[in-house]
Amino acid sequence: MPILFLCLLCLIAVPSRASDLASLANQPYWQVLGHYEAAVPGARPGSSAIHDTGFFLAADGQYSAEHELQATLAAMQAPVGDAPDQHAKCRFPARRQWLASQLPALSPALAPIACPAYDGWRKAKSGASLLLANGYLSNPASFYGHIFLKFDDADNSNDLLHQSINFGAINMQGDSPLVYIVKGVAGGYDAEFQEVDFYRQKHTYGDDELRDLWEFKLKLSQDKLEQLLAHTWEIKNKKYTYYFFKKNCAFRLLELLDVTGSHYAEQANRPWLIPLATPVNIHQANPDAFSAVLFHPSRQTQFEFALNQLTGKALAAFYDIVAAAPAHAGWGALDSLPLAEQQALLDTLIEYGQYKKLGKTSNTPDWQHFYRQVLLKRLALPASETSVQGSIEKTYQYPDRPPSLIGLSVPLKRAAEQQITIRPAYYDLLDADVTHPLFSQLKMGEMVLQGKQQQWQLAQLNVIDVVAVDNSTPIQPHQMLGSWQIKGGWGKLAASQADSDRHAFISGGYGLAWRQQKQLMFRALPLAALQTDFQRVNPYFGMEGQLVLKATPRLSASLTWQYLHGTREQNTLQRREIDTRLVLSKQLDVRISKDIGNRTLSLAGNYYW
Amino acid sequence: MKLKLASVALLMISAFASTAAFADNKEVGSGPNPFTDCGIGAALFPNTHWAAVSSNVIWDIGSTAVTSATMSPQTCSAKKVKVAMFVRDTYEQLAADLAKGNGEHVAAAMDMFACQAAGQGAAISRARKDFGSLASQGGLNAADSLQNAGKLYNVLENAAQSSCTI
Repeated sequence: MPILFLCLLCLIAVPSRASDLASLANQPYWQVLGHYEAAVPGARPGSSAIHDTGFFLAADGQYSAEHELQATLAAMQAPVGDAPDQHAKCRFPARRQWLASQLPALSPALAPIACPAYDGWRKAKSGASLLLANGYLSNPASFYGHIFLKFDDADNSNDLLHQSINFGAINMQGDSPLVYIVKGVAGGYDAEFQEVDFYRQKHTYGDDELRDLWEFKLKLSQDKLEQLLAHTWEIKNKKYTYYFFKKNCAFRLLELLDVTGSHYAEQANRPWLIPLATPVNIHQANPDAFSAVLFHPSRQTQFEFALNQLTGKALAAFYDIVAAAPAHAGWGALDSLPLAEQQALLDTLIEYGQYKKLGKTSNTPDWQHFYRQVLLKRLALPASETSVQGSIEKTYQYPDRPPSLIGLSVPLKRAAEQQITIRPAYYDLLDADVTHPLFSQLKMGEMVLQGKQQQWQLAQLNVIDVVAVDNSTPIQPHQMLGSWQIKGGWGKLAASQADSDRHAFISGGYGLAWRQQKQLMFRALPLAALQTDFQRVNPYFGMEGQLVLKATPRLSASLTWQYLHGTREQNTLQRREIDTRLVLSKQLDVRISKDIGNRTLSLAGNYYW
Repeated sequence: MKLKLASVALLMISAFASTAAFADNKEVGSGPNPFTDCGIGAALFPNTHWAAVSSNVIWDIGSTAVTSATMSPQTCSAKKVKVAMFVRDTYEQLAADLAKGNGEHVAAAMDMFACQAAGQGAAISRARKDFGSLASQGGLNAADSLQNAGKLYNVLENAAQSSCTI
């Protein structure tokens, strides 16, 4: 018996040299598995980004990669017992796989065991995708979009039934928007990866918030997929700290993907990470990262697509029915249309009802009744052969443009100054694309340097510059939409001001806009502004009008007129500009700008990175 | 003896026939389902808060607890509860898909009822007909979305069982 006991002891072994363990713990892959970071605000160097005791086997595992490795090895070799799901091999399958590959002598001891919970969760997961939700200007937390992971399910061809993994802040109920912004930036929230049925995500983004989703199918070998699944199992529902600008959903997803051997998180060396730009960044680092890009249209996009298919009498009948709604005296010209047009018209009315959420109990009884009549009328006709969603998916292409811009503008008259513009994020009225709200602008941290005779100085710092137009689909021909803007920073309110008038400022307004499809937009709004040198505050009031034309996917132009009257200085500031943009490639454009007031004409070349 | 056997056979045939007739005559959308029998609550998407559920925030969408399984495990199996929650959460989309006669939500529901692809067309047609009857006869309560979801669940389940190879 003692001999048998000694033999058993021989089987339970660990690498005999402490230096071997230390070396192993310093391996990049172990650091990735433990999410150890070089420097985290408020934490010791080398500590893990995860601060959940359920993730560590060593008492100080959060702070010591080596101790965590030692504890993991010991736990992996402990007897299995009656609850295999609680065994380290089942709780940490990715660690087990990697340690077995690094320690061949321990392979038998580190061999896999049956893990009912993990095996059941992992079963049938056959692929993975990144899902990207368009930006949303109605909520500061969603300005830059959202990104999450989805696993394909070989047992379900319908992706509504697939599982998604979503990283986000938790426990923020009751917090106001201001508190959310402050805590979100400063790390005041915990966050975790949670599983969410994909149909819920699609409902939230596509139906509730009317945001399109883009799906990037990851090209992963079976081994890499296994690594990703194993590590997702290890980290789901484990607590991180959430930081809005850098350690957000985009960064944590890149970290998760790095378990497959990529180095996306490591290469994400900017002080901020934009979810919307994540697929672009991945594609730049690895052109072979995606096998396909799919488009999941929002309810609004589906409705607009269906509406654009109607013509002639069917289109006229649609507008008549909607104009009279929710009162419903009859179907008008609908019954006289051919069957196919009746089906198309009623399908469009259903899409309209889904887009406007007419059937919801939160809506008025009249609208609910109207929508029910539409459904009943449609139920009485034969089923449609094709679906709107199936038709629309092929018509959209992911734009793939990087988020930051640097540009050089040269005057076409010698007396004016050259300008360098550096814009970390994100898009303006002329370069906004299909992933951005229509006819909108979101610029943060934009700097303009002006140079004359080799002397350069900071001329403008726009900390925030947002223009938003209500993205509702106009139903009536001259329907007006809401529009708002806010701008704040340091510099001039208008180019006509003297250089000595560069001060801190904030301006904003709310007004009306009108748009024709996705090509033409006009908006007008009253403006208020404050400019201060911190000794005096100068208020301004005025108006702004703007016309934006997107003539083709490559050519766009805007005409801006702004008038401000200083009530204290009794001065008038005017801005009259024409800007045109021509896209040369996904990373290059040229622009010609004419400042009508100052009679300057300039040519700019911009590079997106 | 032969007369006795024939009588028994006739009785049995009558019993089955009357059961089938009873089944055909039962009110559309009625019947046991996980909503009525498993305590599924009216959990809806938390879209009332300003931050909503999408924006880098994870909400406790909660209320998915099945508070009691008063009926047989058959009615309240994990699979059936999952289907019921799908119907509850996507009722509006399912109703729209049925009206049009196609759509990813009604296809997903049929998948969840284990209806093979070959039979889904017939099942959706059957479900359209029954849902239309329900709606036109005032069988849907404008104010009670959970009750409506329960009825739609039964419509879909009956359509899948009658039209599909399960």
